[in-house]
Amino acid sequence: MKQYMIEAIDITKIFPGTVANDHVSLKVKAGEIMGLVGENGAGKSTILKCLNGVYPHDTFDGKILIEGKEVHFKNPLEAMHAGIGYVPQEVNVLPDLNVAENIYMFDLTNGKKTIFVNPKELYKRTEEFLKEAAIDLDPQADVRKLSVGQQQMLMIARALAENPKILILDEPTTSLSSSDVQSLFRVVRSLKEKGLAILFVTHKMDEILELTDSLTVMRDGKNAGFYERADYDQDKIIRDMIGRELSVMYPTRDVEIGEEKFRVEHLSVPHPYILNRFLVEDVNFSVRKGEVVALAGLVGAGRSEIVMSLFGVLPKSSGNIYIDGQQVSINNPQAAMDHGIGLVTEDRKKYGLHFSWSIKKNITISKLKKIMTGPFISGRKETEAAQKYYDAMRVKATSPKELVDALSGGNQQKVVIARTLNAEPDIVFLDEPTKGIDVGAKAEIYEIINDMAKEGKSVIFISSELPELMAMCDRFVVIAEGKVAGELTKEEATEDSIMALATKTFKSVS
Amino acid sequence: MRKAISKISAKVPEFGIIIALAVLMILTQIMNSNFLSAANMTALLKSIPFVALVSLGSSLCLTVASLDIACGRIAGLCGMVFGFTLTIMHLSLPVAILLGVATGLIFGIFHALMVVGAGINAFVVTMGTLYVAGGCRYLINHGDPMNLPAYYRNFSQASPLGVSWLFWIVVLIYIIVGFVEARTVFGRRLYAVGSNSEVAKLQGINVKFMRSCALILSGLFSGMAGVMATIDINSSQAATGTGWEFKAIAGCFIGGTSLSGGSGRAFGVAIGVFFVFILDNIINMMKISNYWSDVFTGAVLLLSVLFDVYRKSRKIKA
Amino acid sequence: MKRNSNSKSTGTSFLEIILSPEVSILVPLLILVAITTAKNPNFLTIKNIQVILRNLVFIGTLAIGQSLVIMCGDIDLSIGTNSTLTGVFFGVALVWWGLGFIPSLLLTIFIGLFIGGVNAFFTNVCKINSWIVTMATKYMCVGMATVITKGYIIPIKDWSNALYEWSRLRPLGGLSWPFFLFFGLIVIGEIAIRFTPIGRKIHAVGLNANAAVLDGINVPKVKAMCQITAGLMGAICGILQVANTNTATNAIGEGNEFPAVISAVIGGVSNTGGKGTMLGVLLGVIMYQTLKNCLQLMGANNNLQLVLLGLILILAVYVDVLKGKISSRARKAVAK
Repeated sequence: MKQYMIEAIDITKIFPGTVANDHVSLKVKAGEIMGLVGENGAGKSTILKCLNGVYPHDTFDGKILIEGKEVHFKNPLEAMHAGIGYVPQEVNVLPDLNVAENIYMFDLTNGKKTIFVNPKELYKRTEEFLKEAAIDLDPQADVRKLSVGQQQMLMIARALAENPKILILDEPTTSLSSSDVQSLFRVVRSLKEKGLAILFVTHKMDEILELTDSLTVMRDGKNAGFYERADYDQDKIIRDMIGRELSVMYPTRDVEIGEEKFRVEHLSVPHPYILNRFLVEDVNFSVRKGEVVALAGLVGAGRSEIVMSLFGVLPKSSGNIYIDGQQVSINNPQAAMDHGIGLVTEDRKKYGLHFSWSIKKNITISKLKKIMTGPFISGRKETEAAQKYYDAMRVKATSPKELVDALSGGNQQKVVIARTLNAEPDIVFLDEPTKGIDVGAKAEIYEIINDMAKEGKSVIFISSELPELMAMCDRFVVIAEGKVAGELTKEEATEDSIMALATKTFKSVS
Repeated sequence: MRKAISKISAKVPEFGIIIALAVLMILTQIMNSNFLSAANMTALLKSIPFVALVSLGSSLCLTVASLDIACGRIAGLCGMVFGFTLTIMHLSLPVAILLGVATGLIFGIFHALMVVGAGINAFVVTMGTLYVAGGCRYLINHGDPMNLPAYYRNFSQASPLGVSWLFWIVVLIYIIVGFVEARTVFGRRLYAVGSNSEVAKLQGINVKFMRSCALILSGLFSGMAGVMATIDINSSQAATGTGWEFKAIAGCFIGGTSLSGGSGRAFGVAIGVFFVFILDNIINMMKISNYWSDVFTGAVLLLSVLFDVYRKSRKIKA
Repeated sequence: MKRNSNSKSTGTSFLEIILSPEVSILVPLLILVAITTAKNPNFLTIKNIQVILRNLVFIGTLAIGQSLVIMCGDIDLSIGTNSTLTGVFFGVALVWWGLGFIPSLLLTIFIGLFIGGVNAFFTNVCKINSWIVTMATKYMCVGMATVITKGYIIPIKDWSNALYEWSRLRPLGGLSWPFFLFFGLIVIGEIAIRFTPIGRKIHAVGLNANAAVLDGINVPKVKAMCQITAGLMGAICGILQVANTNTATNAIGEGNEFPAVISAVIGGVSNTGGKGTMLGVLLGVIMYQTLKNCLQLMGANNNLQLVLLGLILILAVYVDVLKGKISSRARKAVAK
């Protein structure tokens, strides 16, 4: 009976307002590839951070055992020394050094107690190691010049160089081309032969079916299902990923949809630092007045990039935008706002608010023209405008003069929405507007969205929570791998049908 | 042809600058045959070592994505301390040298405490110490020059291989630092820290320690440069060091060091500093008003930084 | 449901007031003033105060420009030598080229704006760190000034003594026209920062440039405006210097960016950007000039003054960073 190489038992991690992991367990045997799958927000990255030492052991409850022995990690280095190799999702290398140095930076001298580095020895050692691991890289190659797939391989090699017993791969195929994906699978299979326990995090059904020996499904921070390869059933797996009781009451709306307000054709957004790679490819969709359209899909599919480029923040390599039937040119946020588009962002810390300012100032900054008397800002108009949206959003604070950083997350998000609405847009892009917010505030935000639609605005709603999307939206555009995977009407949209489109892979894995 | 060039550039990143330098020198020689004369070249090489040493220290800071703009005045201050302890306090030569260099070291340690320890912007901190060191130069001996005993001239005026002993000492330091950069664990870790400090940390490198070392070494080299400059002209001058940081940093960027850290090496810095001094020299030789030299150095500084920004912005292949 | 129970705003804890640059510099300054007055009773006389106020206009105008740039999160090391070069152009235009007063004035202002524009171009379009850009333009400016004057001091009296005499007038309270010009600029600046959209936008850019982009603010344009205005301030300072000394020379102005930065930082313009008012800058400039005057009367020579100012800059920035750390810790505690 094969012993488990790594076991996580009853891991519970709580953040203010949410339980990210609720008694989550998983165990992987040596020579096994286990898939870890789940929707956005299911708790996958949390459990990984507990396993690889990013969350110190005293910040969560539960046990972690390696080869039967309990371990406690204070930081990622300790996890590494204990035999856990972790390959992050985003490429993170030392671009100015070569392959050999990237792999062996933690041990440039091969264990010898010397201050000198012998390049020839290092290259030879790296070459032998790479051959063993079946990874095709030149030890002396300049890492900056490597392709993305090669850099991903480099990160895997780096993790392997520490001789891990366990290898965690966090959504490794996100930036890879089809041929890179096949190379990756080859390497992973050879590692399995060598007896490593491999945890392969993904949300792509094809990869699960193709590569993994077993599967743990997570949902809402809990274990939701476990499958051995023989029992794989795609429908059942998807249902485990999304099945839940509706604990939130969604407000109803009388739907009055008008004519087409906004249309985009052939939208493509290039990758910021990878040549010939696109974050968004040839996307077309439209929104009508009074309509709430969902941009559904998994994290990393390109939904945020679509709205960011339509708002003029990200550069697009192609794309025609039509508002009220007229083509418009939008290359920067001012142009977008001039054409009546507003954007509520996902990351309110980075893009959302000025934290040392008051609520009032944050709300009114989006359209200073509204609150001016002559060339000056009118204090009275500012207060009036801010109060209007402050009340409409039902922000819970002592007054609009309060500083934004003293508010709870939900209320901060309301201020972000208020800021966007202050510019009186006709078209509103909402990117994960209820992320990280408690139930009560969510309900209020749903009311606000309904009000927007009632007023005849056109709303694009991005969310990773399917129930929320399904309750609020009239039409569904599903994005996968930067392309439109399909469109569904309200009647056609079920959680199954949306997920099936969202997990569509355009790259071949076999 | 293009393949050959890119192959050479891969092995020798300073290739472009070396070619530009060679072209510049050839053109100047054509227009003024005194340019490549032994007299002109040796005078040039004798004047370089001090700024070059300071530049080396600056490059170490830049490699870890930090900076020390006080380096020039620190050098000047150390020269004054050296002269003062030697000629006025009548301490022995080794002790005087030690104290002079230690002054630089102290500034380096202060920088490390403020920038790495307290987390204050390196530019602002070293702007402050620039004026502290700058003013202190004139407080020692009321800012009056102090002449070293005459017999030191035997050392400073000596011409081994046509240049000075000090030149060769700095060459030696460059070789040592270059070796450390390329062939020691410490050196490779410096580059790792500048290239991606997050990854460096995960690989077990103490990023704070490495950054502190760079700042301290910069102070140390500034101290050594100041003492050497004093010996070279046989006198401590309070104005020494003013404006050195400009040439030092320009030399770094021209030689391939990047503001974002992680690249550039001792050899490149040497080429870069040489380029800056040649530019000055050309302006002299061509009877262009001396006053243009700062203008040109500034323009070259901007161009080299521009090129660096361009290089870093190019996309990776898919 | 999570609710924030402590809804007091976090901006005014006692410790923060103590640590604000204004207070932490003001108290030692008052002590210094007391010591100086004790040693030299001439210090606290009206006459001396008038001298202080009249003399602060040069650093003052530079400080206005510098603080705008710092508020956006950048810096302008060239503002000092900007005043050198623009002063030289002014003198040359009047005396050597014989242009009239108005054309010379316009030319000088244009040069100042141009320098600011160069800084703006390399910082915002080429995306180079403003420290490096303005370090380069600093040397280029003083170099150009030296090239033009070849070390000569241009005597303005060869054109006319009118400007010099104008600067010597004392229209009100013993203060000069340049002072009122400076004060007027402060008032305009304060109104702009506090009450106009551009002021809001400058702070937004300095606080969080990414959020400012999504607020619909044209970040490069705002930054460029501040840098070009700084260039204009350099020109104004250059003209005032020429009026004050009745000469145009390449020897004045270099190094003045330093007191400009200090005045801004003491005056509460955070060196990380996003905060600050012109009244704060005024306070900072007054404190700086008073400090300088005290030190002079105490017999501290120029160099000792530089040393002390360097230490003050480091202290002020240290305090600023400390304050930031305390208030963010307080914020995190409250927001839980």
